[in-house]
Amino acid sequence: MAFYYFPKSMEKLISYLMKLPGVGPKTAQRLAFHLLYAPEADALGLAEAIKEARAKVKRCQNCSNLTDEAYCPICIDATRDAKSICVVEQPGDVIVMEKTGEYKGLYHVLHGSLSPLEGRGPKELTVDLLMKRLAEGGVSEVIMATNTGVEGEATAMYLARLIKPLGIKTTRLAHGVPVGGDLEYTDELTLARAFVGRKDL
Amino acid sequence: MDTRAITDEAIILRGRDYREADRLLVVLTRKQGKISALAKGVRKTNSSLKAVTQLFSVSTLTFSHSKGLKLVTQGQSIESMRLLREDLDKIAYASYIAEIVDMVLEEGKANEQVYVLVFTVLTLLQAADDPYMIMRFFDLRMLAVLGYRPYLDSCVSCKRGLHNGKFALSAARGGIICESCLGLYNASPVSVGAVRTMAKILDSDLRRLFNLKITKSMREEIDTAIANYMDYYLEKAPKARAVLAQYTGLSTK
Repeated sequence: MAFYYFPKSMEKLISYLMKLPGVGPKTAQRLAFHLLYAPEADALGLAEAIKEARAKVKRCQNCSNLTDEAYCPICIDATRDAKSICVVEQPGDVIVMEKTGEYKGLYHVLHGSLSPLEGRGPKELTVDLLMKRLAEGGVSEVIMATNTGVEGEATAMYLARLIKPLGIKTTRLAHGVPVGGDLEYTDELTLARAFVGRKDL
Repeated sequence: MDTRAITDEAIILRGRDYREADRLLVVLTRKQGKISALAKGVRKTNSSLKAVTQLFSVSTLTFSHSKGLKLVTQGQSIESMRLLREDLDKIAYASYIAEIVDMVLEEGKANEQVYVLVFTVLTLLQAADDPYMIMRFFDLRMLAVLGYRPYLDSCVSCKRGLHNGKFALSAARGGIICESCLGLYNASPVSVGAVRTMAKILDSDLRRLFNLKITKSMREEIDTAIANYMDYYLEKAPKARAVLAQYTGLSTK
């Protein structure tokens, strides 16, 4: 018995769409139909945009953040305080930190976190580049803004071990009760840390 | 199909990010053995399951079936194992334990002995200044629980006693073997003192072990011997061991 399949070129498109995170076979089919029926400019625009981004986006030679140029806009910005470096796991974390408007220094993007369980060691991250920046001097504080899970904590502690012997102040983001959060629903770990890090009113 | 929820004591062995805010966990439970379960929304700040799904924490968890994969629906902390996550070396040691347990256990096969062993070892590790003894205790007792207990009383081949001759630990032969019987077997040389220490780790009461004095060279001997022995049965070296070497090579704090 012969089954009817999609045209070969469409099958190919669907198979690529299925590789995207969170996209299963049904969604992939729906997206493929959409791309075929959508205005040509939209569909081909997407293809072009992917091509362009893949070709242009690279890591900033200084902080490893993603950028179209050799250096990212933050590293070039002369008004920023070059004495402090905020270490984050992902490029997305830079955006979040920037939105706070609190921080005026530079960043360093690790592109991941240490995980003994997954066998991910310092060599897989941009640790060497960070140490090179610090060795060049002029940095007085390194702020660890890695995630607060085990892997993020391990990364922060590992880096602190490397950096502290250089005589550079190494700090960690505080842990606390979320703004607008009820104490009753805060887990005991967070609450314990919030208690230790309490502030004068 | 059984659709009722299961409640069991569980140790979080590993977790990996899944979808937007979920985590896919591998947990070791007391009565159900190793199981995989999905914890929904635990990467959001206001999730009530966040604390009980942290790596290495021990909690009473309730699992419910959804299509195939179990979901974590409720949890109450028994022991947060907080100290294991606040020290780089301890993270590495605990990761090593979790990785080996994950490697050797089959999904859904109950093994309460392993649960008790892992719980004991993690608890001790929290307060330990020198985790060496705890780690080797874990290695050897784990081998014993799995049925790979090394034979340490005499040469496995000629039954020559420990008092004379040189010995090596051979994984293929399942115990110590004397120099003259060794032949072409791949084995790690061990001194008589090291063999006696390993035997004590296997048989003595846990409390007595902490009084044992072991020299640095004997530690290295035992480390290599046990590592080779374990890798033979695990069929590959655990990734965490290499990372452990990287961390502990650094000056402490």
